[in-house]
Amino acid sequence: MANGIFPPHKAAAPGLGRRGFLVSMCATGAVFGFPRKSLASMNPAAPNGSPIEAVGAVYEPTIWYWIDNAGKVNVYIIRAEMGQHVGTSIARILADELGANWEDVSIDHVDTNPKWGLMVTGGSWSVWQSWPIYRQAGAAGRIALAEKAAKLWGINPAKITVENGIVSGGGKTASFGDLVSGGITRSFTADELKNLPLRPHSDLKLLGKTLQALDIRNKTTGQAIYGIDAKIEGMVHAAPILPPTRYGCTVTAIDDSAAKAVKGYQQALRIDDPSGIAPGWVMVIADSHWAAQKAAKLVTVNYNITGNAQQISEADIQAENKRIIDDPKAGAILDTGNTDVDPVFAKAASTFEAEYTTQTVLHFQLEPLNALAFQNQDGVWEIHTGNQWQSLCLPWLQTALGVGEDKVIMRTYLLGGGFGRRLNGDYAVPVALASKALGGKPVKMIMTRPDDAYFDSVRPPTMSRLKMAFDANKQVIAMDTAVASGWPTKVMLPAFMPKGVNGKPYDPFSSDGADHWYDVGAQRARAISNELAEATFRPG
Amino acid sequence: MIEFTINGNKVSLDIAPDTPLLWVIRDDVGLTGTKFGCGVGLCGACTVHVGGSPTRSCLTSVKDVAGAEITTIEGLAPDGEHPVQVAWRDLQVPQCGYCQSGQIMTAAAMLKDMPNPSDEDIDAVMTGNLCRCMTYNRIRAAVRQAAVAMRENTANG
Repeated sequence: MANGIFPPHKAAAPGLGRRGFLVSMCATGAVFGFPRKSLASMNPAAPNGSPIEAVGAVYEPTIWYWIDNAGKVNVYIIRAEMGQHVGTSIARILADELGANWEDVSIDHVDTNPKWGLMVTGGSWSVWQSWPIYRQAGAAGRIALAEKAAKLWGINPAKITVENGIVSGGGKTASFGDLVSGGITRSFTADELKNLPLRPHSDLKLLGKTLQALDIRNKTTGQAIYGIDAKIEGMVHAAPILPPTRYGCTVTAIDDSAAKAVKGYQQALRIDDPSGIAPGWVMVIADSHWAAQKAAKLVTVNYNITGNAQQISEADIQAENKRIIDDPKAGAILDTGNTDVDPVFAKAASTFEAEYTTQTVLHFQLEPLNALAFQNQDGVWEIHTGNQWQSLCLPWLQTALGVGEDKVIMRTYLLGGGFGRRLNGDYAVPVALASKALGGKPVKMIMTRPDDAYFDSVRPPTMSRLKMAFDANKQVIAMDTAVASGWPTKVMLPAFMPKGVNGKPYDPFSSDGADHWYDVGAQRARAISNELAEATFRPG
Repeated sequence: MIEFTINGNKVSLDIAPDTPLLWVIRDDVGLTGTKFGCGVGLCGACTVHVGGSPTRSCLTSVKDVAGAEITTIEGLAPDGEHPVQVAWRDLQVPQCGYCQSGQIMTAAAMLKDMPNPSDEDIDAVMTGNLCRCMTYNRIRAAVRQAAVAMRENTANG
C-alpha cells in the first residue's frame, strides 16, 4: 500500500481533472507570485522576505539594530541562514541584554556592505563570535533608554530597570517606543561598548528557553525565499556547459546550430574569466530555464585542454598523498610544544603505526548551485544568491567584472543547505560574467544536479599516518602524525594560512585535530599540501 | 494552450508541452514553494498533488496535467494551517527548509489515504523525500502528531 502512493508520473491524474476543476471554482485563491523587488536585505519571517519598515525616526544604539517609534526592535544579521536558525539565536542574545519584549523583535539578514566587516558563516562560529558583540549592543540600547527615562523623570539612571520592553523607575513606566519617539541621540565609542556593564547570566530571561525560530513558519508554507527563487524583471535563463576539467580548458569553438531549433533559445556565450575562478565555461542563454536546459544539450563545444587533470584518478591522488608523507622534509610542522619525536621513538619499548584515509566527498546540498546577476541602475552589479562567505567571493567578482569594490553587492537569500559548499562562491562568477556579456541584463543560472556534483569543490581525499611510541609500561611517550590532502585555504585564501614552527604555511582546517591538546609526551604534527589534488579540482 | 487548475485558480499557458510541471509552477505560475532538487524524481523536493495524488513535478510534463487540479504547498490549506503544517511548526521540523514543502505534501497525501500509519508505513512513504539536514526523526514524529490531529478533526467534525 505504501509503495503504491505514487502514481506512475505519466498517468498523473488527468482523469480526476474535471472533478478537480469543479471543486476549484469555489476554492480559496492561490497566491500568485510576482517578481520580487530588489530588497536591501531579507527577513525570513515575512512571507515576501521584506524587512519590517520603521515607524518614525529610528534610534540605532550601534550598527547592529534599531528601535523605532512603535518600539519595534530590528536586528541585523550578517550570518547566512542555512538551517541553524542563526538569526533567531543572535537576536535572542541582543534582545535579552536589551530587555526587549521578544514579540517586538524582527531579524534582518543584510546584504554585503563594508560596514559589517568580515561576512562568513561556517565553522560553528556564528553564535559564540556574535555573543559579546550583540550583548554589548543590547547593553548600549538598554543604557540609552534608561538614561533617557532618567532625564525625563528626574531620577538616577541606576534606579531604572529595562525588562520585557518596559522601562521602569520611580513609580513610572515607559515603552521603548515612547522613549525613542522623544528622540535619543546617545552614541557609544568602541571602547565604551567594550566596557558596558552586562546583565549577570542569572538575570537573562530569553536565552536557554525553547521557542519557535523566526524562520520556521515560512519553511512550512512554501514562502521561504532561497537563492533559487530570486527573480528580477526581464531576466534571461542560463544553463552552463562545464568544461571537461576544472582547470586548464579553453573553449576553441562552439557549434549551436542544433540548439537553434529550441523555442526560446537565444545564444551560447563563451565566458572568459579574468579572475581564473571558473575557466572554460559556456553559458547557454534562453527565455526560460527549460529552454536553456534543452538547448544546452544540443550545443557542442570544443576545448583546448592543457595539463593532465582529466587523467587523474582518486588512486593517483592517494598515491601522491602517500608519496609526500614519505618525504620527511615535506610540510609544515605545527606548534605542539616539543616536536623532537625521533629520539623518543628510538628508545621506545614498542611502537604503533597506521594509515587512515578518507575518500572524495561531495557536499550535495539539496538546493543546487544557482545565482542571478545583473547591473542595476546605479551601475552596481547585484549578485543574488545564497552564500556563506561573501567577503571571500566579492574580490573574485570584482576581478572578474573589472570593477572596484563599491561596484559589486551580494544580496542575501536563504540557503537550501550550505555544508561548506557555499563557502566557495565560485558559482556566482560565471553568472556575473554572462550578465556582463549581455550588457548587464539579469541572468539567472540554476545548475542541474549532475552539474552541481561535477562543479563541487569536493572534500579532498586525505591520508593520515599516525605513529605512537610507548614505554615499557605501555604508556604513550611520543606521537607523530602526518596528514596530507588538497588544501581549500591555500586555493581560496592563501593569506589566511598561518605558519608552522618551521616557517612553512599550512591550512589549519586540513590538519585540525592533529595538533590536539592531549598529553602524549613529544608530539609532532606535520601538514602537507597535495599539489596534484589542488591542480585537479578545487578542494572545499 | 495548456489549461489546468492550480490551488483553485484556472491557468492557461502557451508553453512547450514537454516542459516539466515543476518549472511551469515556479517560473510561469510564479509559485516558488515547490523546489528543484534533482530533476529525476529521486529527492522529492518537487512533490505536489495532482488530482490529490503526490506527484514528482520535475518528471511530469505539463501536457500530462491538462485539465487536472494541482495543489502546491501554497494551496495546501488556507493560511498554512493544515494539520501537517501545524505539527511541523510545533516540532520545529525544518532546518534549512529546502526539502520541507515536498515532505509536507507527501505527508499530507499519505494521511489522507492512511489515517493511522505505523512507523513502518511512515518510513516506507517518506523515504522518497530526502533531507540533507537529516530532519527525519522530527519528520516521523510530526507525521504521527498530525495523524492524531487529523483523526480528532474527523471524529469531531
